[in-house]
Amino acid sequence: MEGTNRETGVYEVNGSKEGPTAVVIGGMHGNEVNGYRVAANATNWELDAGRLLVIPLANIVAIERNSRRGPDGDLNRLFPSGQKPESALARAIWGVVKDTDPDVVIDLHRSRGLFNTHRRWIGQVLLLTEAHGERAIDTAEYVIDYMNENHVPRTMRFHRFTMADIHDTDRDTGMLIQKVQRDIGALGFLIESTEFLLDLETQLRWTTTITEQLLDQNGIQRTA
Amino acid sequence: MMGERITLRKIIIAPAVWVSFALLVFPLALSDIDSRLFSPLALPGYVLFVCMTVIGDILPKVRNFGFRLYWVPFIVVCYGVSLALGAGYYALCRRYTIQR
Repeated sequence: MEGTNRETGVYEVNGSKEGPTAVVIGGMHGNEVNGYRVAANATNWELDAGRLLVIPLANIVAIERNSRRGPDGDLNRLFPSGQKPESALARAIWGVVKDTDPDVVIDLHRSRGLFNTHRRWIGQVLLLTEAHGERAIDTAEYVIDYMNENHVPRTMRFHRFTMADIHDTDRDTGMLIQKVQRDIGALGFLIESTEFLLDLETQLRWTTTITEQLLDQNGIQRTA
Repeated sequence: MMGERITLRKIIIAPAVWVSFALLVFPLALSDIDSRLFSPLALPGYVLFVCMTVIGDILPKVRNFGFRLYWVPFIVVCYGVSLALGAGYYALCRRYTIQR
């Protein structure tokens, strides 16, 4: 999207040793502040091994408007599996992801409510693709246990993190992590934190920690 | 107040009502400002707040309200709960005093 008002940066962080490649994306939805701020911070991380590609402000027009949707609608519904993404911006993002050939893709989001509590919201969830396999499930379970043991207060029962699958295996949701899994066979995780009864600093801290833990479990350790 | 006739006016300004109101509202309000301050004391208010938002989330007329707006009815409901608790507390005290 070079030269347009949708031009956004792509940053690469390389570890001192060879290792896996990960992509972290923030700002798919412009009103989910924690996602793009954590991704922006990740551009300054130092790694011991591997390679991290960061797209911090994926949907820059929506971010400027502080709205979920950009000019083409909901960006995270424009990535149909096995087909071309449905907007120029989605195609540009997909081009970057595909060219990077990642082992893991982490997409950062935020919900208004809580999964399994509020009927319409899916906050405090680590979302996986349906064909994730045991490694992805083990990784997700480890990270969720880590967060619930070390960060979420015991009495904040409704805020405990949980894992969810993108349901309806036959249905194409158009979500990036589903396309990542189906089209290039990489692991896809979507972190959906919540703004419900949480201050922004806590949202940022928790989103950062989950991202670090997911990378760590995939062989990319943050050193600073 | 113990042993005296309980009136609505007395209940409304009674210390037990305001103490229970403060316990329901302030620990949760503190943790909303900084979630690191969430303590077990916030649990009753937390459960009440979550219950109210769960109900609101399924009611067609209020389902699109932001959850922040629930603080207003939450404070009203907390005061109602505190009144009920306070009235119960003073009724028990009065009964106990009369029996003695």
